Amino acid sequence: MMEAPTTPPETSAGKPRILEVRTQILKKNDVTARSMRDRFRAAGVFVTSLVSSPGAGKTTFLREVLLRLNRTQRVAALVGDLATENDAKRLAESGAPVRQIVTGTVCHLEADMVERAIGDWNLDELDHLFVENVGNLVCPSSYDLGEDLRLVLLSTTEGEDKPLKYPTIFNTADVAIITKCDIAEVVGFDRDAALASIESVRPGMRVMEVSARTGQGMEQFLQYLQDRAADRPTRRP
Amino acid sequence: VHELSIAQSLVELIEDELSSNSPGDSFDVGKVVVKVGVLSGVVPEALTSAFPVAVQHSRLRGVTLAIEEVPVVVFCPSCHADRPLSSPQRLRCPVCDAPTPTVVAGRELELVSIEVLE
Repeated sequence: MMEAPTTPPETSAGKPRILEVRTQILKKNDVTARSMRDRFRAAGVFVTSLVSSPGAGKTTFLREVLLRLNRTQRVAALVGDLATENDAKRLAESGAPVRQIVTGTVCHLEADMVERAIGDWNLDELDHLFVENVGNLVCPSSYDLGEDLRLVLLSTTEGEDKPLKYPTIFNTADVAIITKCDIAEVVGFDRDAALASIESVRPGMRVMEVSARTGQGMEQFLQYLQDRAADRPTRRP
Repeated sequence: VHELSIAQSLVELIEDELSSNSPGDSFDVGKVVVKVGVLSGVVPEALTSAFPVAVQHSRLRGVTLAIEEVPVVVFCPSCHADRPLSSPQRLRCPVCDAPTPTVVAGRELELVSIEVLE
């Protein structure tokens, strides 16, 4: 699989020339993400993405967010998954339009996948769009999806030191959401340790503690989301 | 692991750069230098192993990859100075221990240069 570098033939005249490039390797993704961000701003839709490890409760949390937000706002969601469409079905129970992005073997979403999935949706008719990434705490961190806000979810059933193990994803996210707080005590969740880990990798990061099941913290989160949406720069005429 | 995706993007980018300079069916390339920040989400070793796979079906011949790892550098608001950190796990000033949320380097994922053999 690894081919030996071919050396140029002796007769080859000119000597090596160094071409200075200095370009982002993910330039294509960044360009797509930027153009989508412009589209989102022009349409006045606030875009929130969610990342977490598998099983942290992204879908349950998002379903609850959609259910509550759907009463007063126009919302939609895209959900990335390796193979199944189960998450889309669960989210659609909220009544919001939902589209699945099946990524196949790809362990993260890229900007063009989001762009394709949006397809013919009229963004002007939306207030909030949510993009649920594939459950993975490593790969999604490198890709800008054009979102306004990136949430990283950490559940009380995971190790409190997870932020220390995955500092990059916490560093690229804007807000940390601690999920499944209703069972924190039962599973022996060390809240102080978790908060200290987050603070260590991302000083000053906003942390919100929720339980989709009991509703704890949900209204505070929605209020925060709507404040952020109201504050963002728009290009609406 | 997404390093194969990254390697494919890198190969495409190299091909694009070379095509715009000298159109051809294939390119004889020497060393390609990339910068990989500690907070880029990319593991240099994984990128090194994925790169030859991405090169296989490309128009690049003889290319080798050189990775420059970029450490995390933060701005310390109390010292008013940039400070390199030995680990991304603790974003605090190594001199005065103030929290340092502002990252000034370490997120790079950049193609720096291509050695073109002509």
